[in-house]
Amino acid sequence: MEPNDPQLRDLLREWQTPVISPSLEERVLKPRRHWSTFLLHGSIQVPLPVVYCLLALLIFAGWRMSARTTQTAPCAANCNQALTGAC
Amino acid sequence: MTDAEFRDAFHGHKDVVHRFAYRMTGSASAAEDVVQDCFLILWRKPAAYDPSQGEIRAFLLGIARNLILKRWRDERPHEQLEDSFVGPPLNILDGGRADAVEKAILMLPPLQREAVVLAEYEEMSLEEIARATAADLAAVKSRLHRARQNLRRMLAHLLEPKGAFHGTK
Repeated sequence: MEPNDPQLRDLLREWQTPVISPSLEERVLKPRRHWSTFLLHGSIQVPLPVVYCLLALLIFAGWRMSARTTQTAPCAANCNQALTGAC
Repeated sequence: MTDAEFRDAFHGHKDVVHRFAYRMTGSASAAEDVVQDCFLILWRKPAAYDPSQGEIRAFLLGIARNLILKRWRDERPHEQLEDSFVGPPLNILDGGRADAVEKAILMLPPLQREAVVLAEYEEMSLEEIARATAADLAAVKSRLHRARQNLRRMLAHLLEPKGAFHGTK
């Protein structure tokens, strides 16, 4: 400010700023983590639709595997019977 | 930049960046957003700060300034950052002198506002302001001069006329 205008300077100084909220420090300092720390302690948010899709895929894969097992089981039993001559 | 250096930078300069952002935006929440973004930029790109180019304070204020002006442009795409604004005399009856000062400063065009805020409240030299605002010295002087004129006009009712005689009655 103009050095010869102390009156304006004094008036401007009457406008004070509010205090920073304590949460700001946490907001700034918390997210800074090294990637290796993130691998061990990190967490991610997954949208629910994605979770539903993954669950559906998991159920479908489980159903397919169990269906395949039930299809192959009689065949294996037949082979065993043929070998042992149990039939 | 190590974690300790970053923490030191944050604790040492968060207040100055916050004061500047608050006086530029007039909003506490916007000011805190600017402080957060400013330090996250420093954390992500520490190499952007070159100590030989000046103090970290001027560097952080430069980042804050760019964030604020970007926000301002996004909100007011058709307004000029620096125009031939002539502040009308304010006649604020409600509120105190501080409210009048706040209103007057927030009415200034952004480039005049940043010059007066950095010079008056942060006591930065013209050279430091020029560095933080990426402007040349003549432009800073001119903005500061116009800002001062506007503030004197707007706050005339709270100021004695320039050169008034302070004699005994």
